[in-house]
Amino acid sequence: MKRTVKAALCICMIALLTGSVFAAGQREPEAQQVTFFHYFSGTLAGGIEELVTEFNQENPEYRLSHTPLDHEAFKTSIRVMLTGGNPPDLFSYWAGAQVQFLVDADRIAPIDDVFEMYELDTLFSDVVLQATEYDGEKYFLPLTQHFAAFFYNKEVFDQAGVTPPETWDEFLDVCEQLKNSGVTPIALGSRERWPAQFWLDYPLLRTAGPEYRAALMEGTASYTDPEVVRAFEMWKELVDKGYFVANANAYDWAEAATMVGTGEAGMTLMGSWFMQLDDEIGWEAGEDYDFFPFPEVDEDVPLAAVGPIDGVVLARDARMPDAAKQVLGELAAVGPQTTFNIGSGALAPNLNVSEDIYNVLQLKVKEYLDDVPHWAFNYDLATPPPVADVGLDAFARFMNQPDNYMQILADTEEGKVRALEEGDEL
Amino acid sequence: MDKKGVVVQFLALPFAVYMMVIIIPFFQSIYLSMTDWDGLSHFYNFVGLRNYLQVFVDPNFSKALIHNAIWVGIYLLFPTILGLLLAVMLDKNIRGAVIFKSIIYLPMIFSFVIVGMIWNFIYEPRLGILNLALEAAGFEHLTQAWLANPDTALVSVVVAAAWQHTGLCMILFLAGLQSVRTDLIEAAEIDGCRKRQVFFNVVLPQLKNTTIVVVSLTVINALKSFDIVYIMTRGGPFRSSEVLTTLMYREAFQNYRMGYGSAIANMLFLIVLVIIVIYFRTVMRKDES
Repeated sequence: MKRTVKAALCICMIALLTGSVFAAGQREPEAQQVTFFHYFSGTLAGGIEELVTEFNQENPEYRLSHTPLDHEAFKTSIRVMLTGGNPPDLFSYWAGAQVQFLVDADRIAPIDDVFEMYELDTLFSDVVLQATEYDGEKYFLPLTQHFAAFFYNKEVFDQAGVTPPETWDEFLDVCEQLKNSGVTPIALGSRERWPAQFWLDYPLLRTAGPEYRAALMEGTASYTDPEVVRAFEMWKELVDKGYFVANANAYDWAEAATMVGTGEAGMTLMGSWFMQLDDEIGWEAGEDYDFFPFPEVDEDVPLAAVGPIDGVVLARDARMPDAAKQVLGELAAVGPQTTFNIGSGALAPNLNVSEDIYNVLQLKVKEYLDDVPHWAFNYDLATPPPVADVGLDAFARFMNQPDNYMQILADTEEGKVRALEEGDEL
Repeated sequence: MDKKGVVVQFLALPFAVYMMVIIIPFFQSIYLSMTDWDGLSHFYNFVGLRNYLQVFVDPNFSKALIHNAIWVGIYLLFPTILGLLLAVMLDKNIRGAVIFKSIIYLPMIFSFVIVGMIWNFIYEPRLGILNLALEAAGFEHLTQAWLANPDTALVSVVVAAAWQHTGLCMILFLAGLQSVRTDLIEAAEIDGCRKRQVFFNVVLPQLKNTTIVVVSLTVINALKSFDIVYIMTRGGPFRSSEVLTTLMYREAFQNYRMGYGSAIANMLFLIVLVIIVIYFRTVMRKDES
């Protein structure tokens, strides 16, 4: 009896083993898993979920596994992972000074070969291509391009009898008329500080020009220069006249956007991610709201557009660098770029993406960006992070103490010098 | 196996875990505080005590330290005293005492994140219950953006934290009151002491050990507060509610100054250590005398 049991067990074992061998022989090659951490979450999620699903369906040889985190959690997590030597293969980041910091720290790897293999240089505009290159090498694959402008409530403008202004004087008139009609002209939610940055970016770009602004961002110009003082005085004029919503530092950008949506305020200077609130506010782009670029102030100064370009970088310590590079190449293609940018309010960096995916406002943004001669990253992406921290504090402080602007600028300059000195000592 | 061997075996694993998550990171943090590491680079330099020297000249550090001192002051004054008063009141067999105790203790079950969010709604400038209540009571001139005004932001955050902390103080004092000798109270009453005299001269001295625990916890909680500040103001507006923990986070994780952030963390540790040591020594000296 015992013998019979033993024999049966042996047969079972052999059957199991041979079966698994045959099964292994028939099994399809295992997909290579590429990990991707990013901050495209919440109201800024765009079409990331669809992008990943579609990518995995169309590229069965890879399995793109993505982890969305909120902005602040992302910043901390990615740094811990990078320094711990256990980073994701790919992660999202902000083009400009933030990517430069990672390049300087040798935490991300160049992807020139991806650009070469997939001929990516032909897919992007010059502005976007500039955002991909750091210290002469390509490090950044752009996924989305946003643009900051005035988004306004059409009904409120109609009721006040005003039209989008083209010059600064016209802009002041519009504000005055909105105020007279009982509407707060400008909503600003600077609780998180960054929404106020566009109020230095644009007045400075429109009066001192892109070159001076670049010098300020690099630290070679001073915050006490007459150019910066003038930009702050333009901003102050609006505050003094009561054109801004009261207690701007109490609200975040979405609350400010909602004020425009409800007609409590006329407009807000914000990035094109404003359009991602359509469902929450319950209105339609082009129908209920529209945008106009920051008005011209000095006609001799060339126009410049401001905004962030978000994208993906490859970790230096990536576990699957080759597969990750393949993924990067695929992410630059029309399909993924289309999927990600539908409904995000952004423009897809890939020039071959069909315009059919854009709403009427995005088409207007595209048209404007095609004509505008200069592009600049917004303040916190254009200047080194420790300096940006000083500047962002200054903007929030200005909204609270506008009369103190000269002291604020002096303090900002002092903080900038200290931050840069400490950076040099590293 | 002898008894000692068993003890060692049982302690080995927890000790190893403690070493890994507390002791080693603690010494690592001391080492990092003496470097100029940006938190990302592969290489960094040993800078000795430079970060610590910088702490003393950094206006943001002194500002945050003052804010922490204000926090400790308010925390010691209100939740502690209020907790004691509530405990004394609810220790008696009054009707509904259990319900009151539960209500007052309820905030303790929430995390600071939830508390912060609740109070964010309360402080909301247009629709917040605080401003609406002030308006309804005819104090319209007092309404303001509590968290956006640099003059009120810090106190507003501390009040929110104190709301939660009061429940803890009350529970601890209630536990302490259980061990108060009632025969001494009765003797004092027979001797003709007034209620106030009984409380200050008989009850309070017997609550000394509980008070030590409450004060220590209060000081430590006040100095280590981070989450509620982060949720409510992130240290703003423009650093007006910045405390040492948020400054440490800002420097280490936002400004890429991990070395300096570590120095701030260690300074905070030293401050807590000094306060607690002074406090305990004072209490013990009084005990001996």
